[in-house]
Amino acid sequence: MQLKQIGKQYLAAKHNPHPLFCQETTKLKREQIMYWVLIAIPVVFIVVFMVYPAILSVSYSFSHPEGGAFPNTLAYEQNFADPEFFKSIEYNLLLVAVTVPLELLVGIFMALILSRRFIGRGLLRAVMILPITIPEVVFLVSMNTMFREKGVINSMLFYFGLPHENLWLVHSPFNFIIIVLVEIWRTTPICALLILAGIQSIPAQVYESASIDRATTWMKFRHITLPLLKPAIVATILLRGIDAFKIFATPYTLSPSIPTMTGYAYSIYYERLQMSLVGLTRAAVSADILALFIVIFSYAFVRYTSR
Amino acid sequence: MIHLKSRSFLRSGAFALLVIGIAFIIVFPLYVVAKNAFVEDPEITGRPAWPWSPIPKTFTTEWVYSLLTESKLLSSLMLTIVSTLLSVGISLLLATPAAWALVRVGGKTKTRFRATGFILTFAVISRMFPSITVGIPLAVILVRLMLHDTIWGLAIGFTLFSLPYSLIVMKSQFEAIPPELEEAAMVDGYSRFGAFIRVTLPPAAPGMAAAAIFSFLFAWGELTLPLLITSANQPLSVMTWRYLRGATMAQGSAIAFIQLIPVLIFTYILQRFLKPEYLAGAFKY
Repeated sequence: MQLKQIGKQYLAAKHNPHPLFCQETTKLKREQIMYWVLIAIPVVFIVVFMVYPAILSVSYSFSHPEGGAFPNTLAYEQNFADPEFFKSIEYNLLLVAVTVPLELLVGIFMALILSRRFIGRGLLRAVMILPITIPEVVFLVSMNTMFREKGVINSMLFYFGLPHENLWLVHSPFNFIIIVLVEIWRTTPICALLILAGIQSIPAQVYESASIDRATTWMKFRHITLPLLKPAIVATILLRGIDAFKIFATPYTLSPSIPTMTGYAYSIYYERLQMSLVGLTRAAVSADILALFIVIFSYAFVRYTSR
Repeated sequence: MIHLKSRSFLRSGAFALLVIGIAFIIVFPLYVVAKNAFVEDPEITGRPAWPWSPIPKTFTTEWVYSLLTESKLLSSLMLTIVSTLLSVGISLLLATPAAWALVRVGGKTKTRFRATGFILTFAVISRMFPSITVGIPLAVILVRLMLHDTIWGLAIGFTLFSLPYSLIVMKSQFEAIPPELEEAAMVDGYSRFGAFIRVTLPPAAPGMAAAAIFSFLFAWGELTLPLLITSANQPLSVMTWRYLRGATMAQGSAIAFIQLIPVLIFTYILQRFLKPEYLAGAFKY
Protein backbone atom coordinates (compact mmCIF):
# COMPACT_ATOMS: atom_id res chain seq x y z
CA MET A 1 0.00 0.00 0.00
CA GLN A 2 2.68 2.43 1.09
CA LEU A 3 4.88 1.35 -1.75
CA LYS A 4 2.12 2.05 -4.24
CA GLN A 5 1.73 5.56 -2.85
CA ILE A 6 5.42 6.25 -3.18
CA GLY A 7 5.33 5.01 -6.73
CA LYS A 8 2.41 7.33 -7.51
CA GLN A 9 4.21 10.25 -5.95
CA TYR A 10 7.30 9.43 -8.00
CA LEU A 11 5.35 9.31 -11.24
CA ALA A 12 3.55 12.57 -10.39
CA ALA A 13 6.88 14.22 -9.64
CA LYS A 14 8.27 12.94 -12.90
CA HIS A 15 5.42 14.31 -15.01
CA ASN A 16 4.79 17.54 -13.12
CA PRO A 17 8.13 18.47 -11.62
CA HIS A 18 8.37 20.91 -8.78
CA PRO A 19 8.57 24.50 -10.05
CA LEU A 20 11.99 24.89 -8.46
CA PHE A 21 13.50 21.98 -10.42
CA CYS A 22 11.67 23.15 -13.52
CA GLN A 23 13.44 26.50 -13.32
CA GLU A 24 16.75 24.73 -12.88
CA THR A 25 16.37 22.68 -16.07
CA THR A 26 15.26 25.64 -18.20
CA LYS A 27 18.23 27.56 -16.85
CA LEU A 28 20.57 24.78 -17.93
CA LYS A 29 18.88 24.61 -21.33
CA ARG A 30 19.21 28.35 -21.72
CA GLU A 31 22.90 28.08 -20.91
CA GLN A 32 23.33 25.43 -23.59
CA ILE A 33 21.55 27.63 -26.13
CA MET A 34 23.81 30.56 -25.16
CA TYR A 35 26.91 28.38 -25.67
CA TRP A 36 25.84 27.31 -29.13
CA VAL A 37 24.91 30.86 -30.15
CA LEU A 38 28.34 32.11 -29.02
CA ILE A 39 30.00 29.35 -31.04
CA ALA A 40 27.78 29.98 -34.05
CA ILE A 41 28.60 33.70 -34.45
CA PRO A 42 32.23 33.31 -35.62
CA VAL A 43 31.33 30.18 -37.60
CA VAL A 44 28.68 32.13 -39.50
CA PHE A 45 31.18 34.93 -40.12
CA ILE A 46 33.70 32.49 -41.60
CA VAL A 47 31.02 30.70 -43.64
CA VAL A 48 29.75 33.96 -45.15
CA PHE A 49 33.11 35.53 -45.92
CA MET A 50 35.33 32.51 -46.53
CA VAL A 51 33.40 29.32 -47.31
CA TYR A 52 30.93 31.07 -49.60
CA PRO A 53 33.72 32.78 -51.61
CA ALA A 54 35.53 29.43 -51.83
CA ILE A 55 32.37 27.80 -53.24
CA LEU A 56 31.97 30.75 -55.62
CA SER A 57 35.55 30.21 -56.74
CA VAL A 58 34.78 26.58 -57.61
CA SER A 59 31.69 27.64 -59.51
CA TYR A 60 33.71 30.29 -61.40
CA SER A 61 36.20 27.67 -62.48
CA PHE A 62 33.39 25.61 -64.04
CA SER A 63 31.56 28.46 -65.76
CA HIS A 64 31.87 29.72 -69.31
CA PRO A 65 33.06 33.33 -69.75
CA GLU A 66 30.54 34.01 -72.54
CA GLY A 67 27.58 32.42 -70.75
CA GLY A 68 27.76 28.81 -71.93
CA ALA A 69 26.25 25.86 -70.09
CA PHE A 70 27.21 25.84 -66.39
CA PRO A 71 29.36 22.79 -65.73
CA ASN A 72 31.87 23.79 -68.36
CA THR A 73 35.51 22.72 -68.49
CA LEU A 74 36.65 25.47 -70.87
CA ALA A 75 38.83 27.23 -68.27
CA TYR A 76 40.50 23.93 -67.36
CA GLU A 77 41.18 23.21 -71.04
CA GLN A 78 42.64 26.69 -71.55
CA ASN A 79 44.87 26.32 -68.50
CA PHE A 80 46.03 22.85 -69.45
CA ALA A 81 47.00 24.19 -72.88
CA ASP A 82 49.18 26.86 -71.21
CA PRO A 83 52.74 25.64 -70.51
CA GLU A 84 53.12 28.40 -67.90
CA PHE A 85 50.38 26.72 -65.81
CA PHE A 86 52.26 23.43 -65.54
CA LYS A 87 55.47 25.32 -64.93
CA SER A 88 53.84 27.13 -61.99
CA ILE A 89 52.64 23.87 -60.39
CA GLU A 90 56.04 22.28 -60.99
CA TYR A 91 57.97 25.16 -59.41
CA ASN A 92 55.53 25.38 -56.53
CA LEU A 93 55.98 21.71 -55.67
CA LEU A 94 59.75 22.00 -56.16
CA LEU A 95 59.96 24.98 -53.80
CA VAL A 96 57.97 23.11 -51.14
CA ALA A 97 60.12 20.00 -51.56
CA VAL A 98 63.38 21.97 -51.28
CA THR A 99 62.59 24.61 -48.65
CA VAL A 100 60.74 22.54 -46.05
CA PRO A 101 63.47 19.90 -45.39
CA LEU A 102 66.19 22.58 -45.35
CA GLU A 103 64.19 24.74 -42.93
CA LEU A 104 63.68 21.71 -40.74
CA LEU A 105 67.39 20.86 -40.66
CA VAL A 106 68.44 24.44 -39.88
CA GLY A 107 65.57 24.70 -37.41
CA ILE A 108 66.67 21.59 -35.48
CA PHE A 109 70.22 22.95 -35.40
CA MET A 110 69.06 26.32 -34.06
CA ALA A 111 66.77 24.66 -31.53
CA LEU A 112 69.72 22.62 -30.24
CA ILE A 113 71.70 25.85 -29.84
CA LEU A 114 68.83 27.54 -28.03
CA SER A 115 68.32 24.57 -25.69
CA ARG A 116 71.80 25.11 -24.23
CA ARG A 117 72.47 27.66 -21.52
CA PHE A 118 74.65 30.60 -22.49
CA ILE A 119 74.88 34.35 -21.93
CA GLY A 120 72.51 36.24 -24.22
CA ARG A 121 70.19 33.30 -24.80
CA GLY A 122 67.10 35.39 -24.03
CA LEU A 123 68.32 38.03 -26.46
CA LEU A 124 68.84 35.46 -29.23
CA ARG A 125 65.33 34.09 -28.66
CA ALA A 126 63.93 37.61 -28.90
CA VAL A 127 65.84 38.25 -32.12
CA MET A 128 64.60 34.97 -33.56
CA ILE A 129 60.96 36.06 -33.23
CA LEU A 130 61.65 38.96 -35.61
CA PRO A 131 61.42 37.00 -38.89
CA ILE A 132 58.02 35.67 -37.78
CA THR A 133 56.64 39.10 -37.01
CA ILE A 134 58.10 41.49 -39.56
CA PRO A 135 55.95 42.06 -42.66
CA GLU A 136 56.90 40.07 -45.72
CA VAL A 137 57.15 43.15 -47.95
CA VAL A 138 59.57 44.92 -45.61
CA PHE A 139 61.88 41.96 -45.81
CA LEU A 140 61.51 41.78 -49.58
CA VAL A 141 62.48 45.44 -49.95
CA SER A 142 65.63 44.58 -48.03
CA MET A 143 66.31 41.49 -50.14
CA ASN A 144 65.86 43.50 -53.30
CA THR A 145 68.54 45.98 -52.20
CA MET A 146 70.76 43.05 -51.28
CA PHE A 147 70.66 41.06 -54.49
CA ARG A 148 70.07 43.65 -57.21
CA GLU A 149 72.80 44.48 -59.70
CA LYS A 150 74.16 47.43 -57.71
CA GLY A 151 73.22 45.86 -54.43
CA VAL A 152 74.83 44.96 -51.14
CA ILE A 153 76.11 41.49 -52.07
CA ASN A 154 77.78 42.70 -55.26
CA SER A 155 79.37 45.58 -53.29
CA MET A 156 80.85 43.14 -50.83
CA LEU A 157 82.25 41.06 -53.68
CA PHE A 158 83.72 44.28 -55.07
CA TYR A 159 85.49 45.03 -51.77
CA PHE A 160 87.08 41.59 -51.85
CA GLY A 161 88.10 42.03 -55.50
CA LEU A 162 85.80 39.30 -56.80
CA PRO A 163 83.61 39.52 -59.95
CA HIS A 164 80.87 41.92 -58.94
CA GLU A 165 78.57 42.32 -61.91
CA ASN A 166 76.42 39.28 -61.16
CA LEU A 167 72.72 39.42 -61.99
CA TRP A 168 71.71 37.27 -59.04
CA LEU A 169 67.99 37.56 -59.62
CA VAL A 170 68.04 36.88 -63.36
CA HIS A 171 70.29 33.91 -64.00
CA SER A 172 68.77 30.52 -63.64
CA PRO A 173 70.35 28.55 -60.81
CA PHE A 174 71.05 31.63 -58.65
CA ASN A 175 67.53 33.04 -58.58
CA PHE A 176 66.11 29.73 -57.38
CA ILE A 177 68.81 29.39 -54.71
CA ILE A 178 68.22 32.96 -53.53
CA ILE A 179 64.48 32.41 -53.24
CA VAL A 180 65.10 29.26 -51.22
CA LEU A 181 67.54 31.15 -48.94
CA VAL A 182 65.11 34.02 -48.46
CA GLU A 183 62.32 31.62 -47.52
CA ILE A 184 64.65 29.82 -45.11
CA TRP A 185 65.48 33.13 -43.44
CA ARG A 186 61.82 33.98 -43.04
CA THR A 187 60.52 30.66 -41.76
CA THR A 188 63.31 28.78 -39.96
CA PRO A 189 62.63 30.53 -36.61
CA ILE A 190 59.10 29.09 -36.56
CA CYS A 191 60.53 25.59 -37.01
CA ALA A 192 63.24 26.27 -34.44
CA LEU A 193 60.84 27.53 -31.75
CA LEU A 194 58.36 24.69 -32.33
CA ILE A 195 61.13 22.08 -32.13
CA LEU A 196 62.65 23.84 -29.11
CA ALA A 197 59.34 23.34 -27.31
CA GLY A 198 59.59 19.64 -28.18
CA ILE A 199 63.17 19.43 -26.88
CA GLN A 200 62.27 21.16 -23.62
CA SER A 201 59.45 18.69 -23.00
CA ILE A 202 61.94 15.78 -22.93
CA PRO A 203 62.66 14.99 -19.25
CA ALA A 204 66.27 15.56 -18.12
CA GLN A 205 66.34 12.19 -16.30
CA VAL A 206 66.47 10.37 -19.65
CA TYR A 207 69.71 12.17 -20.53
CA GLU A 208 71.12 11.57 -17.02
CA SER A 209 70.56 7.83 -17.24
CA ALA A 210 72.13 7.83 -20.71
CA SER A 211 75.17 9.61 -19.32
CA ILE A 212 75.48 6.94 -16.63
CA ASP A 213 75.55 4.38 -19.45
CA ARG A 214 78.37 6.45 -20.99
CA ALA A 215 76.49 7.56 -24.09
CA THR A 216 78.26 10.17 -26.24
CA THR A 217 76.59 13.43 -27.24
CA TRP A 218 75.89 12.09 -30.72
CA MET A 219 74.39 8.87 -29.33
CA LYS A 220 72.14 10.89 -27.04
CA PHE A 221 70.97 13.01 -29.96
CA ARG A 222 70.45 10.04 -32.28
CA HIS A 223 68.78 7.65 -29.83
CA ILE A 224 66.98 9.97 -27.39
CA THR A 225 66.35 13.42 -28.85
CA LEU A 226 65.39 12.42 -32.39
CA PRO A 227 62.92 9.63 -31.54
CA LEU A 228 61.25 11.67 -28.81
CA LEU A 229 61.09 14.68 -31.13
CA LYS A 230 59.33 12.75 -33.89
CA PRO A 231 55.83 14.12 -33.14
CA ALA A 232 57.11 17.71 -33.03
CA ILE A 233 59.03 17.18 -36.28
CA VAL A 234 56.07 15.72 -38.16
CA ALA A 235 53.78 18.52 -36.95
CA THR A 236 56.36 21.12 -38.00
CA ILE A 237 56.76 19.55 -41.46
CA LEU A 238 53.00 19.54 -42.05
CA LEU A 239 52.62 23.09 -40.74
CA ARG A 240 55.43 24.49 -42.83
CA GLY A 241 54.43 22.40 -45.85
CA ILE A 242 51.00 24.05 -45.85
CA ASP A 243 52.52 27.52 -45.64
CA ALA A 244 55.15 26.78 -48.24
CA PHE A 245 52.44 25.95 -50.78
CA LYS A 246 51.15 29.51 -50.53
CA ILE A 247 54.50 31.09 -51.49
CA PHE A 248 53.79 34.14 -53.62
CA ALA A 249 55.43 37.50 -52.97
CA THR A 250 59.05 36.33 -52.75
CA PRO A 251 59.35 34.90 -56.27
CA TYR A 252 56.88 37.38 -57.72
CA THR A 253 58.88 40.44 -56.70
CA LEU A 254 62.43 39.09 -56.69
CA SER A 255 62.46 36.84 -59.73
CA PRO A 256 59.28 36.70 -61.83
CA SER A 257 60.75 33.97 -64.01
CA ILE A 258 59.92 31.51 -61.22
CA PRO A 259 56.13 31.17 -61.30
CA THR A 260 54.03 29.89 -58.40
CA MET A 261 50.38 28.84 -58.26
CA THR A 262 49.24 31.97 -56.41
CA GLY A 263 51.44 34.06 -58.68
CA TYR A 264 49.96 32.44 -61.77
CA ALA A 265 46.38 33.11 -60.63
CA TYR A 266 47.23 36.70 -59.67
CA SER A 267 49.12 37.53 -62.87
CA ILE A 268 46.56 35.97 -65.20
CA TYR A 269 43.63 37.82 -63.63
CA TYR A 270 45.16 41.21 -62.77
CA GLU A 271 47.92 41.58 -65.34
CA ARG A 272 47.68 39.35 -68.39
CA LEU A 273 43.91 39.32 -68.92
CA GLN A 274 43.08 42.66 -67.24
CA MET A 275 40.29 41.53 -64.87
CA SER A 276 38.22 39.95 -67.64
CA LEU A 277 35.82 37.04 -67.15
CA VAL A 278 38.20 34.69 -68.96
CA GLY A 279 40.91 35.69 -66.50
CA LEU A 280 38.52 35.14 -63.60
CA THR A 281 37.68 31.59 -64.62
CA ARG A 282 41.28 30.69 -65.35
CA ALA A 283 42.57 32.22 -62.10
CA ALA A 284 39.87 30.31 -60.22
CA VAL A 285 41.15 27.02 -61.69
CA SER A 286 44.68 27.64 -60.38
CA ALA A 287 43.43 28.92 -57.02
CA ASP A 288 41.14 25.91 -56.55
CA ILE A 289 43.89 23.40 -57.21
CA LEU A 290 46.04 25.19 -54.60
CA ALA A 291 43.13 25.16 -52.12
CA LEU A 292 42.70 21.42 -52.67
CA PHE A 293 46.35 20.75 -51.79
CA ILE A 294 46.05 22.92 -48.67
CA VAL A 295 42.80 21.42 -47.40
CA ILE A 296 44.26 17.91 -47.70
CA PHE A 297 47.45 18.92 -45.86
CA SER A 298 45.61 20.82 -43.11
CA TYR A 299 43.26 17.89 -42.54
CA ALA A 300 46.32 15.63 -42.19
CA PHE A 301 47.80 18.14 -39.72
CA VAL A 302 44.65 18.21 -37.59
CA ARG A 303 44.37 14.42 -37.59
CA TYR A 304 48.03 14.06 -36.66
CA THR A 305 48.12 16.64 -33.86
CA SER A 306 44.81 15.63 -32.26
CA ARG A 307 45.78 11.95 -32.03
CA MET B 1 94.38 19.16 -17.97
CA ILE B 2 95.56 22.47 -19.42
CA HIS B 3 95.13 21.03 -22.88
CA LEU B 4 91.52 20.12 -22.12
CA LYS B 5 90.81 23.60 -20.78
CA SER B 6 92.14 25.38 -23.85
CA ARG B 7 90.04 23.06 -26.02
CA SER B 8 86.86 23.92 -24.15
CA PHE B 9 87.80 27.59 -24.41
CA LEU B 10 88.13 27.24 -28.19
CA ARG B 11 84.82 25.43 -28.30
CA SER B 12 82.93 28.10 -26.39
CA GLY B 13 84.56 30.75 -28.56
CA ALA B 14 83.33 29.01 -31.70
CA PHE B 15 79.89 28.69 -30.13
CA ALA B 16 79.80 32.41 -29.34
CA LEU B 17 80.80 33.20 -32.92
CA LEU B 18 78.00 30.96 -34.18
CA VAL B 19 75.40 32.69 -32.00
CA ILE B 20 76.61 36.14 -33.04
CA GLY B 21 76.55 35.03 -36.69
CA ILE B 22 72.93 33.88 -36.45
CA ALA B 23 71.87 37.12 -34.75
CA PHE B 24 73.73 39.12 -37.41
CA ILE B 25 72.07 37.25 -40.30
CA ILE B 26 68.65 37.96 -38.79
CA VAL B 27 69.22 41.63 -37.95
CA PHE B 28 71.28 42.77 -40.95
CA PRO B 29 68.40 42.91 -43.53
CA LEU B 30 66.43 45.13 -41.14
CA TYR B 31 69.43 47.40 -40.77
CA VAL B 32 69.63 47.67 -44.58
CA VAL B 33 66.03 48.92 -44.73
CA ALA B 34 66.54 51.39 -41.89
CA LYS B 35 69.75 52.72 -43.44
CA ASN B 36 68.25 53.13 -46.92
CA ALA B 37 65.27 54.99 -45.48
CA PHE B 38 67.52 57.75 -44.16
CA VAL B 39 70.21 58.29 -46.81
CA GLU B 40 70.05 60.54 -49.84
CA ASP B 41 68.93 59.03 -53.08
CA PRO B 42 72.20 58.73 -55.10
CA GLU B 43 73.58 56.42 -52.48
CA ILE B 44 70.73 54.02 -53.10
CA THR B 45 70.21 53.94 -56.84
CA GLY B 46 72.49 56.11 -59.02
CA ARG B 47 76.11 55.48 -60.01
CA PRO B 48 77.67 57.23 -56.96
CA ALA B 49 75.92 54.64 -54.81
CA TRP B 50 78.42 52.08 -55.93
CA PRO B 51 79.80 50.37 -53.93
CA TRP B 52 77.16 50.11 -51.19
CA SER B 53 78.64 50.99 -47.82
CA PRO B 54 77.20 49.71 -44.57
CA ILE B 55 77.93 53.01 -42.83
CA PRO B 56 75.58 55.88 -43.76
CA LYS B 57 77.55 58.84 -45.13
CA THR B 58 74.61 61.18 -45.63
CA PHE B 59 71.51 61.66 -43.58
CA THR B 60 68.10 62.90 -44.68
CA THR B 61 64.58 62.59 -43.37
CA GLU B 62 63.27 63.56 -46.82
CA TRP B 63 61.67 60.20 -47.63
CA VAL B 64 59.93 59.63 -44.34
CA TYR B 65 58.89 63.29 -44.23
CA SER B 66 57.49 63.19 -47.78
CA LEU B 67 55.47 60.10 -46.86
CA LEU B 68 53.97 61.78 -43.84
CA THR B 69 52.99 64.89 -45.81
CA GLU B 70 51.77 63.26 -49.01
CA SER B 71 48.02 62.91 -48.55
CA LYS B 72 47.66 59.60 -50.37
CA LEU B 73 50.24 57.83 -48.24
CA LEU B 74 48.98 59.43 -45.08
CA SER B 75 45.45 58.20 -45.79
CA SER B 76 46.89 54.78 -46.53
CA LEU B 77 48.64 54.82 -43.15
CA MET B 78 45.41 55.79 -41.39
CA LEU B 79 43.48 53.14 -43.32
CA THR B 80 45.97 50.46 -42.30
CA ILE B 81 45.95 51.44 -38.63
CA VAL B 82 42.16 51.71 -38.32
CA SER B 83 41.30 48.56 -40.27
CA THR B 84 43.97 46.54 -38.47
CA LEU B 85 42.73 47.62 -35.04
CA LEU B 86 39.13 46.97 -36.11
CA SER B 87 40.01 43.46 -37.21
CA VAL B 88 41.83 42.77 -33.93
CA GLY B 89 38.79 44.03 -32.03
CA ILE B 90 36.29 42.00 -34.06
CA SER B 91 38.29 38.79 -33.89
CA LEU B 92 38.84 39.01 -30.12
CA LEU B 93 35.24 39.99 -29.46
CA LEU B 94 33.89 37.05 -31.46
CA ALA B 95 36.57 34.45 -30.73
CA THR B 96 36.95 34.79 -26.95
CA PRO B 97 33.34 33.96 -25.93
CA ALA B 98 33.18 31.28 -28.63
CA ALA B 99 36.37 29.60 -27.37
CA TRP B 100 35.01 29.68 -23.82
CA ALA B 101 31.70 28.19 -24.98
CA LEU B 102 33.57 25.45 -26.86
CA VAL B 103 35.31 24.44 -23.64
CA ARG B 104 32.24 24.65 -21.35
CA VAL B 105 29.47 23.38 -23.62
CA GLY B 106 27.51 20.39 -22.25
CA GLY B 107 25.43 17.66 -23.84
CA LYS B 108 26.10 14.02 -24.62
CA THR B 109 29.85 13.38 -24.46
CA LYS B 110 30.14 11.77 -27.88
CA THR B 111 28.16 14.36 -29.82
CA ARG B 112 29.90 17.16 -27.94
CA PHE B 113 33.36 15.83 -28.81
CA ARG B 114 32.35 15.41 -32.43
CA ALA B 115 30.87 18.91 -32.68
CA THR B 116 33.76 20.73 -30.97
CA GLY B 117 36.30 18.67 -32.93
CA PHE B 118 34.56 19.54 -36.16
CA ILE B 119 34.56 23.25 -35.32
CA LEU B 120 38.26 23.19 -34.42
CA THR B 121 39.14 21.38 -37.66
CA PHE B 122 37.08 23.99 -39.47
CA ALA B 123 39.02 26.75 -37.69
CA VAL B 124 42.42 25.24 -38.52
CA ILE B 125 41.54 24.74 -42.19
CA SER B 126 40.19 28.27 -42.52
CA ARG B 127 43.34 29.60 -40.80
CA MET B 128 45.43 27.83 -43.45
CA PHE B 129 43.17 28.53 -46.41
CA PRO B 130 44.96 30.29 -49.31
CA SER B 131 44.14 33.99 -49.69
CA ILE B 132 44.04 33.79 -53.48
CA THR B 133 41.10 31.35 -53.46
CA VAL B 134 39.12 33.57 -51.09
CA GLY B 135 40.33 36.94 -52.33
CA ILE B 136 39.05 37.09 -55.89
CA PRO B 137 35.42 36.10 -55.11
CA LEU B 138 35.49 38.10 -51.87
CA ALA B 139 36.25 41.22 -53.90
CA VAL B 140 33.10 40.51 -55.96
CA ILE B 141 31.02 40.01 -52.78
CA LEU B 142 32.37 43.20 -51.17
CA VAL B 143 31.47 45.19 -54.29
CA ARG B 144 27.89 43.87 -54.00
CA LEU B 145 27.78 44.76 -50.28
CA MET B 146 29.11 48.28 -51.10
CA LEU B 147 32.07 47.57 -48.81
CA HIS B 148 34.72 47.42 -51.52
CA ASP B 149 37.65 49.77 -50.90
CA THR B 150 36.39 50.78 -47.46
CA ILE B 151 37.86 50.35 -43.99
CA TRP B 152 35.21 47.75 -43.15
CA GLY B 153 35.89 45.68 -46.25
CA LEU B 154 39.58 45.54 -45.39
CA ALA B 155 38.83 44.77 -41.73
CA ILE B 156 36.61 41.85 -42.78
CA GLY B 157 39.42 40.53 -44.96
CA PHE B 158 41.96 40.73 -42.12
CA THR B 159 39.54 39.15 -39.64
CA LEU B 160 39.12 36.05 -41.83
CA PHE B 161 42.53 34.78 -40.77
CA SER B 162 42.91 36.27 -37.30
CA LEU B 163 39.51 35.02 -36.07
CA PRO B 164 40.29 31.29 -36.43
CA TYR B 165 43.75 31.90 -34.99
CA SER B 166 42.36 33.66 -31.91
CA LEU B 167 39.78 30.90 -31.50
CA ILE B 168 42.47 28.19 -31.45
CA VAL B 169 44.73 30.09 -29.03
CA MET B 170 41.93 31.11 -26.67
CA LYS B 171 40.54 27.58 -26.55
CA SER B 172 43.87 26.22 -25.35
CA GLN B 173 43.91 29.03 -22.75
CA PHE B 174 40.45 28.30 -21.35
CA GLU B 175 41.13 24.57 -21.19
CA ALA B 176 43.74 25.31 -18.50
CA ILE B 177 41.24 27.17 -16.28
CA PRO B 178 39.07 24.87 -14.09
CA PRO B 179 35.26 25.32 -14.40
CA GLU B 180 34.96 25.01 -10.60
CA LEU B 181 36.12 28.63 -10.27
CA GLU B 182 33.14 29.79 -12.32
CA GLU B 183 30.75 27.58 -10.38
CA ALA B 184 31.99 29.03 -7.10
CA ALA B 185 31.36 32.52 -8.45
CA MET B 186 27.86 31.45 -9.51
CA VAL B 187 27.10 30.22 -6.00
CA ASP B 188 28.00 33.74 -4.91
CA GLY B 189 25.35 35.12 -7.22
CA TYR B 190 26.89 35.74 -10.62
CA SER B 191 25.25 34.52 -13.79
CA ARG B 192 27.23 32.10 -15.97
CA PHE B 193 28.30 34.83 -18.36
CA GLY B 194 29.07 37.23 -15.51
CA ALA B 195 31.25 34.58 -13.92
CA PHE B 196 33.04 34.18 -17.25
CA ILE B 197 33.76 37.90 -17.49
CA ARG B 198 34.85 38.34 -13.88
CA VAL B 199 36.51 35.04 -12.99
CA THR B 200 37.64 33.14 -16.07
CA LEU B 201 38.74 36.01 -18.27
CA PRO B 202 41.44 37.60 -16.05
CA PRO B 203 43.70 34.50 -15.87
CA ALA B 204 43.31 34.09 -19.65
CA ALA B 205 44.66 37.60 -20.24
CA PRO B 206 48.17 36.56 -21.45
CA GLY B 207 46.62 34.37 -24.16
CA MET B 208 44.30 37.19 -25.16
CA ALA B 209 47.23 39.60 -25.37
CA ALA B 210 49.21 37.15 -27.50
CA ALA B 211 46.21 36.57 -29.77
CA ALA B 212 45.69 40.33 -30.10
CA ILE B 213 49.34 41.05 -30.88
CA PHE B 214 49.63 38.23 -33.40
CA SER B 215 46.36 39.25 -35.07
CA PHE B 216 47.65 42.80 -35.26
CA LEU B 217 51.00 41.75 -36.73
CA PHE B 218 49.45 39.47 -39.35
CA ALA B 219 46.93 42.06 -40.45
CA TRP B 220 49.67 44.69 -40.49
CA GLY B 221 51.93 42.63 -42.74
CA GLU B 222 49.28 40.83 -44.80
CA LEU B 223 49.91 41.37 -48.48
CA THR B 224 48.03 38.92 -50.70
CA LEU B 225 44.47 39.56 -49.50
CA PRO B 226 44.57 43.39 -49.56
CA LEU B 227 46.20 43.15 -52.97
CA LEU B 228 43.13 41.30 -54.21
CA ILE B 229 40.29 43.08 -52.40
CA THR B 230 41.35 46.74 -52.68
CA SER B 231 41.87 48.95 -55.69
CA ALA B 232 41.98 52.66 -54.73
CA ASN B 233 42.39 52.79 -50.94
CA GLN B 234 45.26 50.46 -50.31
CA PRO B 235 47.04 49.61 -47.07
CA LEU B 236 50.73 50.22 -46.44
CA SER B 237 51.92 46.74 -47.41
CA VAL B 238 50.38 47.10 -50.88
CA MET B 239 52.00 50.54 -51.21
CA THR B 240 55.38 49.04 -50.36
CA TRP B 241 54.71 46.26 -52.85
CA ARG B 242 54.03 48.86 -55.55
CA TYR B 243 57.33 50.67 -54.93
CA LEU B 244 59.06 47.31 -54.81
CA ARG B 245 57.70 46.33 -58.22
CA GLY B 246 58.43 49.78 -59.61
CA ALA B 247 61.98 49.48 -58.21
CA THR B 248 61.86 52.95 -56.57
CA MET B 249 63.68 51.80 -53.51
CA ALA B 250 64.13 55.11 -51.65
CA GLN B 251 60.40 55.60 -50.96
CA GLY B 252 60.01 51.84 -50.72
CA SER B 253 62.56 51.68 -47.90
CA ALA B 254 60.95 54.65 -46.16
CA ILE B 255 57.48 53.03 -46.15
CA ALA B 256 59.03 49.74 -45.12
CA PHE B 257 60.72 51.53 -42.23
CA ILE B 258 57.45 53.11 -41.10
CA GLN B 259 55.83 49.68 -41.32
CA LEU B 260 58.64 48.24 -39.24
CA ILE B 261 58.32 50.54 -36.20
CA PRO B 262 55.12 49.12 -34.60
CA VAL B 263 56.30 45.62 -35.44
CA LEU B 264 59.51 46.12 -33.46
CA ILE B 265 57.60 47.52 -30.49
CA PHE B 266 55.09 44.67 -30.43
CA THR B 267 57.77 42.03 -30.95
CA TYR B 268 59.56 43.38 -27.90
CA ILE B 269 56.36 43.10 -25.85
CA LEU B 270 55.56 39.68 -27.29
CA GLN B 271 58.87 37.96 -26.62
CA ARG B 272 58.34 38.21 -22.85
CA PHE B 273 55.39 35.87 -22.77
CA LEU B 274 55.67 33.90 -25.99
CA LYS B 275 54.69 30.26 -25.59
CA PRO B 276 55.01 27.61 -28.28
CA GLU B 277 51.27 26.94 -28.34
CA TYR B 278 50.68 30.49 -29.52
CA LEU B 279 53.09 29.78 -32.32
CA ALA B 280 51.50 26.51 -33.39
CA GLY B 281 48.45 28.52 -34.36
CA ALA B 282 50.54 31.37 -35.64
CA PHE B 283 51.96 30.07 -38.87
CA LYS B 284 51.87 32.95 -41.22
CA TYR B 285 49.92 33.63 -44.45
